[in-house]
Amino acid sequence: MEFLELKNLTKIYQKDILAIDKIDLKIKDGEFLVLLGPSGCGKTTTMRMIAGLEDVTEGEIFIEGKLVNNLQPRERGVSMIFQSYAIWPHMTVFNNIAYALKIKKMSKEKINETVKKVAKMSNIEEYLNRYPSQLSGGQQQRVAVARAMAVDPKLFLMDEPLSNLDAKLRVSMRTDLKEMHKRSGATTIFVTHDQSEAMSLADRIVIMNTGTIEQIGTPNEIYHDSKTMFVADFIGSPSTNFVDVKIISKDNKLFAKNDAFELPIDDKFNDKLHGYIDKDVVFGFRPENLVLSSDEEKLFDIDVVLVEPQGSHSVIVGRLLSKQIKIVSDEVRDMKNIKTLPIKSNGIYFIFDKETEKRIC
Amino acid sequence: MKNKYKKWFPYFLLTPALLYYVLFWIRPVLRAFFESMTDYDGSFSLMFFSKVINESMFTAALRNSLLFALISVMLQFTVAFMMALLLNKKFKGSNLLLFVALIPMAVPPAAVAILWKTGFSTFGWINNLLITLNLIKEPILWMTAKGYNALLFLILIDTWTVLPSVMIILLAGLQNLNKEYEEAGLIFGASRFQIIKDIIMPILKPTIITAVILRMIAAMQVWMISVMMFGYGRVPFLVERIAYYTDMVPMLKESYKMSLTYSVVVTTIVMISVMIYLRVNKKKEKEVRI
Ligand SMILES: Nc1ncnc2c1ncn2[C@@H]1O[C@H](COP(=O)(O)OP(=O)(O)O)[C@@H](O)[C@H]1O
Ligand SMILES: [Mg+2]
Repeated sequence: MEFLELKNLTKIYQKDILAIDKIDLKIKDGEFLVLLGPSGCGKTTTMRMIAGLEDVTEGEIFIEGKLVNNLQPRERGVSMIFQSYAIWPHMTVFNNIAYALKIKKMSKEKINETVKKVAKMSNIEEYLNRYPSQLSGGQQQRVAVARAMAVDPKLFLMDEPLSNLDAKLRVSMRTDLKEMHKRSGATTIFVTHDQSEAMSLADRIVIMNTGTIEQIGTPNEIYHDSKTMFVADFIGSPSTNFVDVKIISKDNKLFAKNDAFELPIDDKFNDKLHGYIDKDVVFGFRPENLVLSSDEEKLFDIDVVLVEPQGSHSVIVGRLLSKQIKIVSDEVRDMKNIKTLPIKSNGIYFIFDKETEKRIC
Repeated sequence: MKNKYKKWFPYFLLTPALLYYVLFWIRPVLRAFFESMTDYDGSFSLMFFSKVINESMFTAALRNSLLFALISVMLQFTVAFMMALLLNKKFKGSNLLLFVALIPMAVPPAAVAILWKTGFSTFGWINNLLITLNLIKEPILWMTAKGYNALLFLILIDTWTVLPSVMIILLAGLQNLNKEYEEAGLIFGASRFQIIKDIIMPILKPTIITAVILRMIAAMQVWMISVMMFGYGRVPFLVERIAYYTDMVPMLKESYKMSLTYSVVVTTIVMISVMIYLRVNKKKEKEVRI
């Protein structure tokens, strides 16, 4: 049985703002699930409905098979790390962590023991007597984590918990959170708009777009098997290059053709592309799947605009048919005198339906 | 050179305000202290303090002022805080409710007294309303209320008048409060009441202290509604005595010094009350920390 299930979940704010549009989602026990999507796509709303902080307009939320739509947040066994941390400014770190336990009427010794334990796990033992204002952002974040762990929740909810930290701290906290998840084994839903955060943390990623789910899958599935143009575009940095082509058939062989090139398509796709012959589709090339080529083997030339060195590799920004193309290469370093480059496909690409923007193959 | 200029510049900017204070504030205050502590011929004497304390109305005025301040501040704070909590929740009609709640603020004190005086007269609209609603048979003789009843009566009228101003301060504080503090409370198991007591009130404390102190000072100085409703001497207050000596009997030889002495007494009591209140709050804070 699933640990958490969302059925047909819908949220409408103020009568006409459709924030969440009929989403279905199942989360396994102990899973680390990441909700990923651009700002305003409804991640926070989804999380708040699961927590019980926001009314559900339509649909159902089940935790361990039990309908929780009408339960108070405290009756749901969830714990949350807020984006602003929301650690109470008038309480010491100790009292922040202990508050929930005091409410549960836990004994003094037990409270002390629990607070010590979670403080140790989140590395804030020496700050227990301090007030939040006397802590750095990273330390405050750890207090929020410790407070959330202290109640030993069945479900952890984290809403962009790392977004207020500087880049370096963000990466190290990321590792810490992952470790803590491994140790506690609590089911976790983590919200972020940062794809690299999502990729490195998630067991599975849920990609959201304007209130709907685009794709659910492991980080590798999401990247290598993107189901929609939105996902192909959103995931990956630089993102996927989209090229308009027409599918044509010559002597029972399919080609993708436009003004710049004619690319033979692998025969294994023939079935799926059957209905698309002589129609326009969109090809998606990940930046690493367009590679430098010799003049004899090239598919097309790009006009080089600039090169962004990244150390281990370079991002070549070029133009093809007056559209921007980005290519990742570890061969080219210095581009001073290069105006054009011959490029070929390494055989890996997505083909999308132009209307539905869904993947054909 | 530049540093010196920087150092003195703020004081230069403050000069007009300082001048104003010296002329219109410090001078009269010092004068009041001086007059209250001297005899007619200018020699040091506490004669007027003893006169004030032994005056027949003084005990009643002191008791009324203190009771009025204590009860009205508690009542007003409690009701205003509940209203602010309610209005802080966005719901249908909350803006309209806020507008209605703010109306008494727009009514000047003299008009308030007239409004209530006509309302509470034997055949005024309040008796009419109560009779129409079949709540009473005979008109109630409100204006003949005496002693504590009259005091309570004044407290209620004052509360009606100042509630919006207290409420608006608290509401402003609530609206600045990070909503996630409350939500964290909900998630971590606190009840509505516990959230108010353990989270909202402590975080809002600076705002609450401001509101309470402003009310305490104003309540200690109440006089106009008493005079408007009942006239001088029926329900005496400390500041009502000042008004009495300056307005009603200004010709008496002692009036000037009596009213200034009363002023000094009121100022002292207000200052002591505020200090006690702040001290008590500090102590509470320490307890919370441990
Ligand atoms: N309290 C609210 N009232 C009205 N609209 C809201 C409210 N909260 C969020 N929204 C709207 O719902 C949509 C989803 O918001 P949100 O869940 O916060 O997105 P995300 O967390 O993915 O950035 C947005 O269009 C936002 O404007
Ligand atoms: Mg959000």
